[in-house]
Amino acid sequence: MSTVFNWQLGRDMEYPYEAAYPDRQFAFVFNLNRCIGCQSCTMACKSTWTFSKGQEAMWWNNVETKPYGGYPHHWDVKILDLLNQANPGGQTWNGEPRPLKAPYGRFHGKTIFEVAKTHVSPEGAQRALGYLPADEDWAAPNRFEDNPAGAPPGSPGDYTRGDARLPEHRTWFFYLARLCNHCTYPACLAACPRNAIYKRPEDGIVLVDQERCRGYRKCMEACPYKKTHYRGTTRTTEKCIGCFPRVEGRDPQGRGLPMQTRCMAACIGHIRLQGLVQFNPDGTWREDRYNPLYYLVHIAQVALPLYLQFGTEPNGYYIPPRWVPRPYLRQMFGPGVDAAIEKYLVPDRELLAVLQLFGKDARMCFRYEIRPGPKVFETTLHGRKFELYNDTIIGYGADGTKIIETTVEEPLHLRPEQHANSI
Amino acid sequence: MPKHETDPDDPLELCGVGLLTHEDTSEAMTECFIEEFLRLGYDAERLLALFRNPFYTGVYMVLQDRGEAFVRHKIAEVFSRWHRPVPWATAASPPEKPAA
Repeated sequence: MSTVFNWQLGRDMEYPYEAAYPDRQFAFVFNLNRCIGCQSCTMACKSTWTFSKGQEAMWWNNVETKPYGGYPHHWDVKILDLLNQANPGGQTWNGEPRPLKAPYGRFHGKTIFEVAKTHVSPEGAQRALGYLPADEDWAAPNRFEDNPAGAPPGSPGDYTRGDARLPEHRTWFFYLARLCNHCTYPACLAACPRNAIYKRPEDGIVLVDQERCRGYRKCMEACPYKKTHYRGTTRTTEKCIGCFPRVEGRDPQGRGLPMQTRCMAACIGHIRLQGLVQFNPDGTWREDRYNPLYYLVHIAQVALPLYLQFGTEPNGYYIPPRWVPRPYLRQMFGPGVDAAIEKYLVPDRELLAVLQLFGKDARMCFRYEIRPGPKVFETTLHGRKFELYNDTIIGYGADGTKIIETTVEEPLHLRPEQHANSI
Repeated sequence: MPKHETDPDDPLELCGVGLLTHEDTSEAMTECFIEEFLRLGYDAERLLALFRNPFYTGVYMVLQDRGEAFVRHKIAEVFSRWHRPVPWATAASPPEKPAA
């Protein structure tokens, strides 16, 4: 085991390999307040990469309903339970938040790598705590997730007996869109006995070498997010490839500029923003004040990593849904949740402008600038003063080309009915 | 035990697992969706149509559960906060939530 620095946990942690950081890192922010679970992202990915024989149950991108659902079924409940069994009541946070190095304070619990040292599963020692989902866990994503009263009587999976019926949920829920987090310390990579998984130095995308992989499925067992998938027809593991030809700027649509992945570009709700960030030698993010991802994660701090306590330093960040009870959100996104929601509820001038970059152009935005506009009105939102300015935000691509220019008060153009499905 | 028999003590067996809270946050969720789509440029009529569309489960569930009068009231409330017009009169107070 080596010692590496995990800034999301605010401390050093153990990892099977020495730290090695890419020149740039694939990262994304999802605004869960906007996701309506339409699955456009899921289908964009499916129709691009996983439409072949043997990939039927393979969804590199999925959207699941929380807290009821998950793909594979109950993936997060199971890994949280394993961690709790290994370190009962010990998965806690405290300490003062510090910019860049410990923005959420310090994690005093154990990561999946640290627990694995003392935890031996029935199959033997592991490099990261995990479990292998059963085939049926992958078979039916979204099963019953939006039908909380259960399956129709008599259908497969019907739990009703006699007069007994499951109660209909009257409580909160939200949609969680997920893909591979292209972690800084990937558990899949750590667990592979064949060294078939690697992280690209140019963009941090984690890939499986299909020539080396022998389908041992150790990566599936170790990945806490369960984002590697077994393909029976090739007897290898496959996973999200971060649409790397687009990230490299090889999609003709981008005219040589790096593009966002298919799932990002297809999002109709404008919930997604993807880009590339840079690291310092110690693994923290290099200051890049006007990169929208840097701003959302480190300046505004409204975007938080998913289950950061697992310790893989995921590079997917989420603006938490503001209506969901806080204890659930704190478990899912860590102690930064309260401040993030407070900030998002009454957004300041810069945040409101940066949120306009989401979903505006398929090319990646590397830098933005804001041109001040007139004050539109002043009001009180959630008990606090709020001022709306119609500022203009301009986004630039990798080579400094202007790719986005839009205002906070954006006009909506409706496509005429006769062109409803035109491209 | 037969595989398909319900075991109430097994939290992993059912899709609906035990939750930390039974709090109904549908009002906050409704407000959030209205505000987000308002910022995207939706007008009140288009927003109401979204609530009426059964394919958008979250908002549709609110309309089923709380009724259209509640949704119209929330749209009017959020729109007035953001200084946007609504084509219907703003209700003075929200309708009562029907008993579950």
